[in-house]
Amino acid sequence: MRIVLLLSIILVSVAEAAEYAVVVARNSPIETLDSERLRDIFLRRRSFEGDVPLVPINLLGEEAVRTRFESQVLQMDRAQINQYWVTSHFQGIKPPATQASLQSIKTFIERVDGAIGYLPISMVDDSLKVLHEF
Amino acid sequence: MSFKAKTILLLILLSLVPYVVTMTFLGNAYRNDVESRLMEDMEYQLGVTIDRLDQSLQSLQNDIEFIASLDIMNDVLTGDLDRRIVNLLLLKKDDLALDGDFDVVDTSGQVVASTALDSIGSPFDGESFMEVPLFSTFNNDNIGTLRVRYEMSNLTRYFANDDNFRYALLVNGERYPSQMQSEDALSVSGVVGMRPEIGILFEQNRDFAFAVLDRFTRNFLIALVIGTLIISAIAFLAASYILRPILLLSSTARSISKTHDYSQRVTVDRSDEIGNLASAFNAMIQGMQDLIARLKEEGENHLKLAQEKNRAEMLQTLSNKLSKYLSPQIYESIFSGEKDVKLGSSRKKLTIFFSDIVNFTGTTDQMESEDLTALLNQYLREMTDIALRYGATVDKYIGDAIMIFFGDPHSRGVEEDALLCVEMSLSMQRRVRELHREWRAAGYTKPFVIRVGIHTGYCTVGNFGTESRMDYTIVGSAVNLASRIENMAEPGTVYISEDTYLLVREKFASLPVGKVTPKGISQPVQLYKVLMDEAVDGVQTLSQEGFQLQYQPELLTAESREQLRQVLEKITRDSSS
Repeated sequence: MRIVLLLSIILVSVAEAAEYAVVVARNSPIETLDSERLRDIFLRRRSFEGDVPLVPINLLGEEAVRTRFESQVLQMDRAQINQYWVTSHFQGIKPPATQASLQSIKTFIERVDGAIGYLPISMVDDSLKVLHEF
Repeated sequence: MSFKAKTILLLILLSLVPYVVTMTFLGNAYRNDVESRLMEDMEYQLGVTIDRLDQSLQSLQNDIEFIASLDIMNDVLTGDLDRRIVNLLLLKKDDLALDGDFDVVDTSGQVVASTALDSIGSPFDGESFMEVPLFSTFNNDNIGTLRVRYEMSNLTRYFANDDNFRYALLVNGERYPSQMQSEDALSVSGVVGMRPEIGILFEQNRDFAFAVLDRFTRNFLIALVIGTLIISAIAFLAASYILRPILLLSSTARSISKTHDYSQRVTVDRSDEIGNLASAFNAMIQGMQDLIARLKEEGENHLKLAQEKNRAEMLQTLSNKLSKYLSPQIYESIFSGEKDVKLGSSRKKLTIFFSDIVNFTGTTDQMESEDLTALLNQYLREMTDIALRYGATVDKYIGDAIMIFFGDPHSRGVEEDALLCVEMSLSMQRRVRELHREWRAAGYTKPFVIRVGIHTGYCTVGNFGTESRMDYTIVGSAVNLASRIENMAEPGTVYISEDTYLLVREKFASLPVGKVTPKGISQPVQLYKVLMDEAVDGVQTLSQEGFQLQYQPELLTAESREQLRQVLEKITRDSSS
């Protein structure tokens, strides 16, 4: 896993090309998402897509993928995000669930209906649908 | 049973029964109290233990519920790829020092995570002690269960057992630990509120539990025995105190009844009823003493009276007897006190009577002595009766002779005395003639004939003899003369002296019959024969002034007729010339 992380960091640092993708399960009813809607989902401003409940999933910790996702998709740094969740906490809004590894994120997305997460493109296979790349 | 024993027993009963009842009641109450307190204590302890257990279980429940509520449980969905749940469970097990295992089972029954690492990935087998469902934090779908595998017997670690106290777990009829420490134990039981299927039994060694009570009971019994002894002693002393005067009373009463010493008294220095009894007893004894003294006095008086009475009766009897030997007049005058029985005499003019049976010895020689006695007694009785009828004083009987006098002790006057005497004599003669016929009819062929002599003269009358033996009689020449006259009298006649004659001549015809010269008297005394009205045995009597003719015609012989004719011729011739 460290190797993967290391590689990711190297990759991110080496090239600014799109390396990560926001994915849902292959059989998910969600077909497309613009960045605005994606942002709303991960900030828990939007819970349903149609009548499907949305389950955003974060990578635990301060992995490069999460940092990149936050800065590029959510367009917030960690301090802003923390601030956001502290405020939201008082409105009864909890941050998205987390998984400790990319593999478990992939598994989670595959197994949970409405789950939406982000993975390195390299890990995307037929079981997933890519909605956004960054 | 003595009264003392009864009293002691009564006192003991009166004081001991309430004492024993009270003590026993208290002891029993204490025992019951102790037992109930013991049970309460045990139930309290059991309650504490159960609470502790309950809290532990509750805490465990809370813990697993908390664990189940964690977001991390969402990892069940990923099969705990990151081992986050396992790590958490291991951490928690360590934290709780749980002597069992946590398992997370997904909806398909596969163990996703477990503190028993070997069982991960295999289906859950075994029994869950406790379980909570897991829900995803984002859509509340059930995603599995969090289970606790736990050996119930491990709950015994919550029990603080020692030698005397012991807890046991009762689950589904099983008992952990299985052995009781003692057959004889106090026990309480309860169930765990969280898990009603778990029962807790709490036992306490009875010997240990009641050790204090047993010690109390022993002390109580000792106190009871000592109390009983003290009460008995007090009862004995009290009974002795109460009864001492009573015993004293009874011993005094016994002593009095034995010795008859009524001067004895009891000394009881008390102001109560017993004291009253003692003083009443003393008063009674005093009364008895007085009574006895009075009775004694009265008895002596009675005795004296009785003796006197006896003597009087004796005297009466004696005098009655004596009266037979005395003339009633003399007897009466002596016993009426008119005359003193003492030697002494007085001179009185009396008419003295003597009679006897003519030729008594010759008449009675051929008679049997019984006949003679009967005849003589009858004669004397008849004569005496007549004499008494006339108020005569029968002086004495001298064999067949009777001596009678008139004029003492009662006198009707000299003349009247003489008249009565002569009349009595004639009555006697008449009675004797009547008796002749009776005696003849009875077969006595030779009846008595009596002669009587009477004289009136001065006599000395009184008691003669000695102080020890005296005789009331008359003495004097007149008595001798009367006797002489009687001796001279013809059978069947009454001779009287001139002195008498002079007194009675008005009433009784008498013929002079001769003279007698008493001893010591120079002048002869003229005697007279009292004429009787009727013929005596055919004797014809003819008397006129200057003569008296008496004859018995059937006895007259020719010679005596001739002689009578010559006498009469001579008398008539002499008087005519």
